[in-house]
Amino acid sequence: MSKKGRKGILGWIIPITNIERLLYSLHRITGIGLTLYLFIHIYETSMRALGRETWISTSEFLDNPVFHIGLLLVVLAAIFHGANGIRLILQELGLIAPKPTQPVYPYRKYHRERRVYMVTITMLILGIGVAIFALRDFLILLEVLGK
Amino acid sequence: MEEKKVIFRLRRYDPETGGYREDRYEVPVYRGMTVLDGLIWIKENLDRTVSYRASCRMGLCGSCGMTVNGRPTLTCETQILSLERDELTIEPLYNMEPVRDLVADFHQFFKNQRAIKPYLIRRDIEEQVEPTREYLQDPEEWNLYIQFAMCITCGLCYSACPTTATNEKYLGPQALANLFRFYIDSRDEGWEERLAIADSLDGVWGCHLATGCSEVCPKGVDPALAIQLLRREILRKNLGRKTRREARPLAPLLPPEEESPYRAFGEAPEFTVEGAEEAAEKFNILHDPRKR
Ligand code: HEM
Ligand code: SF4
Ligand code: FES
Repeated sequence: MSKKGRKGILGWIIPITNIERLLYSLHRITGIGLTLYLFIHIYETSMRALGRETWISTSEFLDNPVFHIGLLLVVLAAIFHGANGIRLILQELGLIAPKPTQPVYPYRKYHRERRVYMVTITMLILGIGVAIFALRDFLILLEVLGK
Repeated sequence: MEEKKVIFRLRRYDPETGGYREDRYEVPVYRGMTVLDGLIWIKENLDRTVSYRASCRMGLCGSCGMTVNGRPTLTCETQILSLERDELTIEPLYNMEPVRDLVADFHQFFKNQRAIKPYLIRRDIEEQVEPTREYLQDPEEWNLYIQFAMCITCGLCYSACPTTATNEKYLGPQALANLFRFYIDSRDEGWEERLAIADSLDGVWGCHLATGCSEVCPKGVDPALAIQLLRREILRKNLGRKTRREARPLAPLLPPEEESPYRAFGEAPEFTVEGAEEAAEKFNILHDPRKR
């Protein structure tokens, strides 16, 4: 049979029907991104083994806005992946699952409240994480400007 | 009544070329008109070749699921004006093989549904087939599964799921929710084999909690919840903790002088349609646990 109907990897991103579906896509993208970064990072730091000259030239090569923004994205991805990962562990193992209830017409959303709370809590943790990160950078920036 | 025109862009699958093509139709829309009404209007007034599937037009049969503006939707239960769009893009359901135009093939979906054994499993099969006593069940026990028994097998959840997009062996939200529905039913005694079916990468461990299934379900089934609860049971079982309790005992036997109410129904009337007898025989074999 032909495989026209299955969306394949595109189906990891569409259809976006709700916020958790979006978080799912982001979790997967950040997970793959972090794994890629891990390998790049191992490669980068291994340059030290090749002597002082190589290490300095590697550092100089990496010292430009593109890599700085890249690193920023990695940190943001890690904050997101970690916070969302904790939510997923709690929810996926049914550790905080509510009791089933009889659905009442028009069957909308009310029974998913608990999951919505969990998403909100994750977002809060995420927000605090990003805020701390931003604050630190802000302080560094002040210091640099002060010099 | 004021009329509004809405463009229906149908993404039609052509089995002869194996590709899709898009056709546009202008549909006059009145208040209360559903997306399915729009398709029927197109077929009656503009283009008789348009194919879609529908039957009950009232959210019961589960035939009319389609992707509307990128979202799996029960078209007979969705009013056009409630979407607040001037254009609707309608495609077959995702993650199923298209048959023609907007019709998707439910072959794999129903195969999965059968794989989870969607019937009561009892140890005493003789008693199940020729019952002498009643099952007992109180509202609390009923409440545990009724949510998952609301399913109309429309396939929207299956189509919204990211795991079904890449893994065609994945049982999918509908089948897993149905598995839990029987697992938690106080009359069922098949919990061990049910957990064994669920405990697999193509079962509950294939889920990543995207919860699109619960979002699009038109019946409030919440398959994501069923999957979480199944995982908790599997976890408990593996940790040696208590899982589902025993099935409730049947009602006490009636005094011998009273007839069982099940025997009082009498015989079914004779068959009047040709071929019905063989069909009934096939059906009986399918539904008789002694012959499975
Ligand atoms: C605080 C630390 C972390 C937590 C709590 C965490 C949690 C999780 C969880 C729960 C999942 C499964 C998600 C699902 O069911 O879809 C997951 C997936 C994944 N994680 Fe992490 N993780 C962490 C750190 C990392 C790091 C550092 C990396 C990379 C080096 C990483 C790479 C991945 C990958 C590639 C996946 C698979 C993605 C997917 O299946 O969608 N994670 N993580
Ligand atoms: S669980 Fe809901 S969305 Fe899935 S098939 Fe049943 S009724 Fe349709
Ligand atoms: S036509 Fe039966 S559910 Fe829509």
